[in-house]
Amino acid sequence: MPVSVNNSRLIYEALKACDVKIISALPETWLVHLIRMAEEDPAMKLVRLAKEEEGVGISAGAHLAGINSAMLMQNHGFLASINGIVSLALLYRIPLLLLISYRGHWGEKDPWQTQGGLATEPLLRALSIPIWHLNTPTAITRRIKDAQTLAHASLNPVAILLHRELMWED
Amino acid sequence: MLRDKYFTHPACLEIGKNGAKFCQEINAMIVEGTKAYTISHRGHWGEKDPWQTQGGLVTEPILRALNIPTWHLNSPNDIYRRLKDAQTLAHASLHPVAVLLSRELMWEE
Repeated sequence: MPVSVNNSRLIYEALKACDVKIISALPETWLVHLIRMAEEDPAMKLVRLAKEEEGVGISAGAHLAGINSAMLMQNHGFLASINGIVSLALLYRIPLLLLISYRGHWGEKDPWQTQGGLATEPLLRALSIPIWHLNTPTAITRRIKDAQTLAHASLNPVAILLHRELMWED
Repeated sequence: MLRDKYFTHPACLEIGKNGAKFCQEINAMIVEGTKAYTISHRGHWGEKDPWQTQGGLVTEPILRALNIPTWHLNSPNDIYRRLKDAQTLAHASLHPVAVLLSRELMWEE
């Protein structure tokens, strides 16, 4: 499978360095190694979701309990979770660390991913959610830590877009 | 009657997982088979319920982000003309359009 194990490992270690204890996710090809690492780590609670919007509730509960969490999703999952983000996280000032696989953008061969790719950044901006494009392994640790710091300081969701060049080895 | 038919919640605006399929969770109305959405615009001017406000604040920015033409319907005199225009544009553009139903149209205090 051409999903990068090494970069997935770096992302997972960066989340651990941020003291993330709960990860919510649905199956997604680009995130398969990250999800497996969370599943195999006895110190990590992996919450498997039926739909991405449920992850907002998981992270809200974790925040209220003083536990750091992260949400792994594909960008179409982000689109599907907008109502939860708006009506729970934005309304009640809940910090969310969103790690979003950025499908349907540069290099995308699957036509069905492209509309979601085109709409992802405009919708994040419409919600005033700060964005970081993560496309190099050397930036992983710093950017994930910075994202978590901003989420906690602003009590607002933040989004890291995981690019193809980072997640996929052609 | 018209009010019941045309009710939908702005906070339910979302995109389906399978690509460009634009959906509404509650009472989406398809005007004669086109993607002309009529959306009750809660959480905006005059809103007293705090839990509606975040949805109200982001409804128009999200519609703009999706490049969906929007009409603010706030006068009963405009209803037939604007809904017909919305349907016409949806058919001509093969693109979703949205009519936002304002409080002054939908609510009698």
